[in-house]
Amino acid sequence: MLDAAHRISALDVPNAYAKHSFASCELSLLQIGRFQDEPHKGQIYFNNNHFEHAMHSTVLLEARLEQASLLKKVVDAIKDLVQDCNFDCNDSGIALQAMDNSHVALVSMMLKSESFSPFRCDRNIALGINLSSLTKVLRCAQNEDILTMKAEDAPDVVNFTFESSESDRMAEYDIKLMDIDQEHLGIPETEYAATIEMPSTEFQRITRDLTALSESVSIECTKDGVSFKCSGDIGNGSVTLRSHTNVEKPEQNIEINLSEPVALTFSLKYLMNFCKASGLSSSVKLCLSNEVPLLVEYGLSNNSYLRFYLAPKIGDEE
Amino acid sequence: MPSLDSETTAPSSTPSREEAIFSDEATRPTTPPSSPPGFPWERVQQKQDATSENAITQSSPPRKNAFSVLGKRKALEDVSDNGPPRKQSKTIKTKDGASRMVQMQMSLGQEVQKRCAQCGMEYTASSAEDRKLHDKFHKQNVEGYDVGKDFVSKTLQTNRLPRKFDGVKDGDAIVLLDCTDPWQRKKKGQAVLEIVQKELGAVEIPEKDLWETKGQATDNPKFKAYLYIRGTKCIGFVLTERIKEALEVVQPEDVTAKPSQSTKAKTTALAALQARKDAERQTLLEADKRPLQLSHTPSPAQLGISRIWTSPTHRGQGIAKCLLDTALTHTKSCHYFDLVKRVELIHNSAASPAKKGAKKNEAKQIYHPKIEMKESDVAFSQPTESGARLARRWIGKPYGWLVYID
Repeated sequence: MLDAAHRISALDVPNAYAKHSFASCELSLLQIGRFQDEPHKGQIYFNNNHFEHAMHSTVLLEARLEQASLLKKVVDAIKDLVQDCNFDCNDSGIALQAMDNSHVALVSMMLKSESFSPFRCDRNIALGINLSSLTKVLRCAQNEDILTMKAEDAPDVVNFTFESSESDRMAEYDIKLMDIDQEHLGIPETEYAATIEMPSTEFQRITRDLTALSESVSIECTKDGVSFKCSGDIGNGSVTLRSHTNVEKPEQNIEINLSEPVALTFSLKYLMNFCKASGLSSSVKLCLSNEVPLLVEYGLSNNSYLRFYLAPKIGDEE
Repeated sequence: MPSLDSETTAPSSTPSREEAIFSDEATRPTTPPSSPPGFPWERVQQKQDATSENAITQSSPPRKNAFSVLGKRKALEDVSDNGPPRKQSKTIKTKDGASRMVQMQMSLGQEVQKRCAQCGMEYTASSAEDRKLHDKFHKQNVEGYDVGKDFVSKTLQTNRLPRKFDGVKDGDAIVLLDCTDPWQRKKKGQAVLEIVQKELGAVEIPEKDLWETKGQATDNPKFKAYLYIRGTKCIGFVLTERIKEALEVVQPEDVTAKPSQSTKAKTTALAALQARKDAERQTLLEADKRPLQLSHTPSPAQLGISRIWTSPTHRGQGIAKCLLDTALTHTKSCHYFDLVKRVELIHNSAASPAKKGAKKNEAKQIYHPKIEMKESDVAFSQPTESGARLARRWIGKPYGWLVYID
């Protein structure tokens, strides 16, 4: 039965329909949803025993975002760390993982399929995109536009459509894809000694303030609270935060979970880079353990996230 | 006057290179420089990661091992050049305790040594210094060597022969470089030659031989370099050498001229011409596939193509052919000038009867460049595969052209 179906090419679907009475075969959607073996011949869908041949038969990925601002902000936040990277698309969503040139920081993004409506990805595919090109194209979208990302099978471009939610304006852009040789690195699951959740604006402010004084910050977390200290040419500074719960404005909460005290030093330049993601989420989570990279996580809706890892600086023993 | 003696002494000035052999086929098209192979701990780390990966994931990971990973390496410069460069005072580095900190790097088993697919250079991707080196090499390799904007306009002016020629496109120029050029220009020629040597996998020509002036006629030095300049980039290069004899490329015995089948079925002259052209192309293609076979008896040759190269991105535009044409015409006119000069010399010596006999003899012995030089008088030093293809296309025959051993 499947064999018969396999022989149907996209072009002679009507004929095939005439010759084989599929109704009698009682094909179910489960049995043949799509022909993965013959991706070039298009996707044929069987709905209630009659099938329709989609016009965009070769579209492999289609992801629609209600608000273009999400992708705009994500790309803005990472474009200074990474130049080119692969967007790995599969049926669970779109993921991105890249290390910066100097191997000091790592970006890991996951946009779950639930963040899109609808989301369709028929096969795992890696779209190699130059982020500065992507930024250029995303600048053409307004924050409230509906964004649709499309890619065909074996694509050489990725297509972006921006539809205005108010008017009938529709803009379409293609970005040429690149062949990026990128290894997928496994990030070890780590249990962190300290987890600090705070408003992302607060973290941004601390980072910005301390950058004026020094190029590195030492983050010290004890049961009393967390302090960000720096010392530079002109003097030194420190900001201390304590656990704090605001019932009226829960986004102002500061939550500190600690299993053992930690103290680590990080480059402020990188942290400044990470803070560009502040617009994505009202709160940010910092996870620290001694001798382990810092994790800065911006949680997005539907379990999507944008994570940054940063290797610490340590004292030179020599 | 000293130029006369030079003819006899010059060829022996390079005895050291006589036995030099270079392989025709390099394993890679280019042999780019590579940075030192990383840091020992990185290799070890990678291995460990590979072997202990399972162990770590199964047993509850000791926290330290999670990113065990953190490798320590002093950044060669400021850590990243992604962000804007920041000024930093030197006092911080030396005095302050906090600034004696060293930035760690993450190591998740990522590749540390990276090989550029385009230019083939291997470098440490995480080092800003190495990346810069690679960028420079990559650009040179892909776009050609930058000679600077004044290079063409500052071509040496001589009252005798032109040293600047036209290229295949408007604005392109071919510039002659030889021992009479100032050292800055020679240096640029040397730099281009270095790139060329690397790509050809050729034996280095010692600098002193290349620009040898001692006892040579400055009008017609042994080595001449022609640089093809487009914009400010040198994208083509040929180094010619004065030679006396070369070996002919002979047709392998098993390749016999096929009886032309088209003779019977000839209908029109046009069709016949077409058929003949096709057959010629076919023999050329076949000849390209075979190793070169040389005759054992040397034949006379005038001009040796020592090195010829076109930048990889500019191939197929006729640049090498244009360079060969230029070299040929220029050599012809050099020979003509030589002749004129020699005739003058003989006249002069005729005026002083005491030396007359000796000078005449010498002139006769030494002098034999042909004025009527053709493509077939040009010989190629052991050509690469693409070099042989070029030679065949330029001379116009698959066999019977000349190769010399340098």
